[in-house]
Amino acid sequence: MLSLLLLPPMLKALVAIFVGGLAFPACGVMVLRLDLVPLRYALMHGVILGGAIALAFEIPSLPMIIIVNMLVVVMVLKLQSNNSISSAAAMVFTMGLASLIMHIYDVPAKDSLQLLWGSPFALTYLDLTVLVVLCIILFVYIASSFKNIVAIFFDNEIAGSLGINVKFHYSFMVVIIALTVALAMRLIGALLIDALLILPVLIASKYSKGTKELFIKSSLTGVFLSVLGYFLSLCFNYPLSATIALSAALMYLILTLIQKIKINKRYKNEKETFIAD
Amino acid sequence: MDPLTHDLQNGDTLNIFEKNHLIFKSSGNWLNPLFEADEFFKSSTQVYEDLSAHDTAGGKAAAALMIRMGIKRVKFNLVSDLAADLLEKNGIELLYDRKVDKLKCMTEDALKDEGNLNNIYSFLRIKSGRVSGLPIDIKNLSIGYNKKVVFRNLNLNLKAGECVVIQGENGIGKTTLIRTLLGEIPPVNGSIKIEDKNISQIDKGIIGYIKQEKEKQNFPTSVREVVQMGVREKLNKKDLAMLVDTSLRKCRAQSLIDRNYYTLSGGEKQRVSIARTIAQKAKILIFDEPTSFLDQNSEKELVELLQSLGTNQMPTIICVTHDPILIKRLNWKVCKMERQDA
Repeated sequence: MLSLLLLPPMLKALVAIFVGGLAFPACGVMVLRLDLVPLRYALMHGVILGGAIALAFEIPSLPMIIIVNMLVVVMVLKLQSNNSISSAAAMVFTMGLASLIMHIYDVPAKDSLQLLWGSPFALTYLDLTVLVVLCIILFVYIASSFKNIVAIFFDNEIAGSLGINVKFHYSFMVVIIALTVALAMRLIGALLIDALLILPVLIASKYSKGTKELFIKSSLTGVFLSVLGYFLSLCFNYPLSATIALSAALMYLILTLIQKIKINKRYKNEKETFIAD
Repeated sequence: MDPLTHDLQNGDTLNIFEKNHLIFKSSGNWLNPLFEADEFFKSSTQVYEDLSAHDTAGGKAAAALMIRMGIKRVKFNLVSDLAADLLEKNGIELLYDRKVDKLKCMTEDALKDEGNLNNIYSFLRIKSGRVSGLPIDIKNLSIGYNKKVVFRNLNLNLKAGECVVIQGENGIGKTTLIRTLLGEIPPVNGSIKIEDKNISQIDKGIIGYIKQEKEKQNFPTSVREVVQMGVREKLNKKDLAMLVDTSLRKCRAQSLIDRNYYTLSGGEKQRVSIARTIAQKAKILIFDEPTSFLDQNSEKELVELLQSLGTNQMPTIICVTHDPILIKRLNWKVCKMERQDA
């Protein structure tokens, strides 16, 4: 297996999956705390549109996907009065356009399906560089603006009353999310994006008492799941995105079950003590 | 030897003793030495059990301040009847050289009929400028969105450190007023001036905002993080921890420091939010329906905390509510927003 790891695409994939495992959950914290789940769906559909345009015109997909996602972000921010509705509108629009482009330019179905599954082994050095740079920007931003981020997560109005430029930070976080979703789609595909973006955060939130802890534990869980998924994929020759997604889902289910058992046990103990009293 | 039998030395106007040991002295005028002593006791970590004081002259104001400080024996060279009565009512032993009906000063006249020690204390702090709050002057204010007026011609003048309740039924424009005061939306007409500066020119962080929590969240946010978000100055780790700790202590919420904010009860959340504004060093506090999700006990605790905040820190406080029980309990000046004809 070691000799396999030394092959450039394998090593590149390991680095990508490690960096993605670190960065995507940190971004997932923002998605969940800013209640941007609808926007994330819109961005995922934006990736499909970007991919469709890239395939139709035979141009590099990552820059195209980033451009389309930025346009989606601008559209949603402009119509910010209702985030869910504007995200839903963006979702329908991008998907409709993607479908039309695929039909008009006769994009092969197999190629378009690649967008749904992604592959870290197919990443170019440009993709990897963008991913590493994004990861650095994300963590530098979180470290330097942590107090502001916590305040915005806590309450926009209170953050505003503290003199924080809420609009700037909100827009910055949305742009970071758009870039992350674009890269996550390339890495693990549209269908399994939640495996690294959302599930590690949900797992970490069960064992965190504060936002700092949540960011750290989410990223560590993300790294653990992605590296575990990578080696499982190598050992059993399964698709990487599937092993990551299944590991994440299993971990979430097991921990939720353990937590439920613990709560039931505590409730039972309290009930017994109450009856004994 | 009883220290109160000696004359004041070296131009001193106030001496305070713990048993026979001199622990505080001042040569200031008016009530300033007593306020200095008040600060001295507030910042001291020592417990004093047998305090006595020697002052040159004592009216009702000085007597009230001494009672609040926990002084048990007092000697005044000159004392008024009003002061003597108040001291006697509170079980304080009084010695004096000369007694008069009342001292010839405006403070003594103003306090003639006031019996509540906290009210006297607040009055004196406002009068002496020892408040952390700022004055607010609202003139002919019309508020609304996009030029659509929700409420018109509101006038309110608050001295620095004054507390007021703005009462009004649901939908009358209380939230719009708060958003205008916070500078989120501009006034449609009229002006809001804070210390003679227009609301748009003031440093935003001077207003501490405590709002009612409408959504239930579950994501972890520690109490420490909530209080820290209020800190505006750049502090090193140690000083930051100290400020957060002190702010929580002032609200009797220190034990909650490592808890997840969203797992706290309504009353605990309010205490933590007030601690956030203390860490923020806010000079004006705005409360939006502070009792909406509180049970009776928590509401009582909140009222005590608000009253203590109003008396001890003395920021200017605006409490917006429609809750008549809270209004009655707070016993602050009330400004009513009443429905206006279109």
